[in-house]
Amino acid sequence: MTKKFEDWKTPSPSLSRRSLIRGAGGLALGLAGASAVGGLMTTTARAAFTGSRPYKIGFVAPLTGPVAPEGISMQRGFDLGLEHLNAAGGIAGQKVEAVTQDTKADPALVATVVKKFIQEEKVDMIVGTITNDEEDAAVKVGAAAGTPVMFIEAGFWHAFCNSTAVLMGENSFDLCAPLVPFMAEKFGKKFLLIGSDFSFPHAYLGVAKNYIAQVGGTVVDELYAPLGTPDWSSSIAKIKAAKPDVIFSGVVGGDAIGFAKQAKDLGLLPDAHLTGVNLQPEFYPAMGGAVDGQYACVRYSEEIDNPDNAQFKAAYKKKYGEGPIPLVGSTAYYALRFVKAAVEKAGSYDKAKVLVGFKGAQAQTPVSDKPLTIDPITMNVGYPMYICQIQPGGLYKIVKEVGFVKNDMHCG
Amino acid sequence: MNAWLQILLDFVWVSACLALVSFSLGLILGELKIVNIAQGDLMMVGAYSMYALRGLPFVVALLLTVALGLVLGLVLERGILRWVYDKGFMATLLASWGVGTVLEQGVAAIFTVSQKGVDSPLTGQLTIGDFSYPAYRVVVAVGIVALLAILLLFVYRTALGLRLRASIDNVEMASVLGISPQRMFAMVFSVATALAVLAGALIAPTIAINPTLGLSFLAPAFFAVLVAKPGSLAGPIVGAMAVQAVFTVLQAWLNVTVAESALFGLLALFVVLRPQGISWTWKIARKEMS
Repeated sequence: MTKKFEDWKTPSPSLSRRSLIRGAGGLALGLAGASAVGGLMTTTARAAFTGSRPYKIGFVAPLTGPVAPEGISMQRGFDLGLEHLNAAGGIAGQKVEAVTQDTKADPALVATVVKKFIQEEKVDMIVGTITNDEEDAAVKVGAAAGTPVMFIEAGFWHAFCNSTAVLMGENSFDLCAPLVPFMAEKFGKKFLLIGSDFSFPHAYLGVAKNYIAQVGGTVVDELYAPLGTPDWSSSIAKIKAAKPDVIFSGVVGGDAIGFAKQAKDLGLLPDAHLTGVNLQPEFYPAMGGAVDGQYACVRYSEEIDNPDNAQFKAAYKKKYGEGPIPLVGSTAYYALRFVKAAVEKAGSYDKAKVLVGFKGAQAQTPVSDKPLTIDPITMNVGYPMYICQIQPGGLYKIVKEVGFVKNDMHCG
Repeated sequence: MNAWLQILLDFVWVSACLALVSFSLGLILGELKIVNIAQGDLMMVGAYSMYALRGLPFVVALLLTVALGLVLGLVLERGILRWVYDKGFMATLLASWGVGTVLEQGVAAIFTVSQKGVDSPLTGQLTIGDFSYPAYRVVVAVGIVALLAILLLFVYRTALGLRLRASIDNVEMASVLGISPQRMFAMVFSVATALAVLAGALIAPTIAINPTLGLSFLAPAFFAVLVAKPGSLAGPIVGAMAVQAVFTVLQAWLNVTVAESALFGLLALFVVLRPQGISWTWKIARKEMS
């Protein structure tokens, strides 16, 4: 996956940022990669530490099974991020190596693979996973071995306090805090909650409920359906009867698509106001325009206007084709920049030191002009969130830049 | 009032689709004495066929999909199932499971596992007063009812139908009387496959299409066959309506998750209390396994 850039040796990391950009720019003129190098180098110009061998990452992803769409998007972002990172000099002056294995979103398999990566492949850290179950399995093995485990999607930060987990996804506070007041102000304070019946939607809608109470709103009904529900008519009939101002949905996966399509067929959409993780960009293409015009709260939009994002978009679409870039793909792309920041801050590959390095680690990313920071207590990245209106064709048009969200996350 | 009308029409729509799958499942169970685990995956193939042919007019795509189902059924029966008929109940069960897995993985390999969607050919709504309902669902439900009526008339009123029923009743005796079991098996499996594929094609515009979509239809369809009067080809249709009626009532009162558990709990209880409803299949299972 990194072959294309294999021969592009970068100068030693002690070079100043400017000369590095110039050098890299000269080499890569016309090649996707030039501006990413600029972004990457901000945290490394002062790195005095040079690694004695390539830094090695074990990448675990559900490439088949129920969440494979997310897993494949994650791998694409990760591969591209790795390619660009190595093109820009890697970590601590060394190329980064990655070993990858499919985990089918099966927690037992995740545990086996993580153990194998740590014991046999001798990886320095683990990156990947999508679902909470996978995260739980991965962190148990990772923490026992003192190995940092970076999750690309959000986890329940409180479940990972004092573990070796680093959480790259936005948390439920980021997702709900800006969205609830926005929807309440625009459409009214009667909320109906609906979700897939497993741990994440329950926790997500629980956080939403707190914010609904804060804005003086009411929850008229709360509906749950198991993952893999083909027919949503009974829930849609209940929503119609309840006549909420806002449908706040934690329905995810293929069900998010089925629910939205049937809501349109049965005349609930487009007049009703549907929002929540149901509207994640990865679900959009199969929805047949059912959610056009609705508002969503996301950590990444292709609309974000900076050179880093322009370069990322171009490279991603060149490599994987047109179509909306999934959130998890964008996050996996820049996640390695935090690894770089942490390792170089630690000045060592030592796992315990790198873990300390992650605390408060910062990196420049395509999602914002400002650097993102890993919270030193909860190890969760804070995001400047965007409220977007979904345009026909799938562009998430930014209507409000929320900025960084204050949250109640804490440990102990 | 409108809420009741919606519940009624939802019931008609879902039970029509379920009836079509259950009928095809009952047909295979009755004639071939096979519990076809792959029936849900055959539905999935129908949905993907419609996705692959989405550039064509809907009816043309539908006809091609049914043709694909007929051919696929013939290939599966002649190519795989017929080799395991005499190996017993477990062998046919595993063979159909294997077929299902191959179909799922094959589709995933061709189309990737990401969710697909098919646009509805009828986007209009049927309106009664201030109540409206998707025209597509009404038209399809009526179409399925008509199709099932024609199939039942065929089974109970034609010479070929008589031979089919004779073969279901006693395949050895029927073969002595000149009804070739091989031909009958091939024909029945081919038609039943086409019906399952058709069911998948018809629901395609209303759902998210993915390689495992058939699984959620399999359990209710099996119960529809189980609660039916043994040996009756019309039975699974009535069974489908009964299962869906109970589910609709439960869903109106409970969250979908709870309703689903309650449904399967009640169905299991029914099967315990009315074992004659299940004895037919159990006899087959025991006879074949021993």
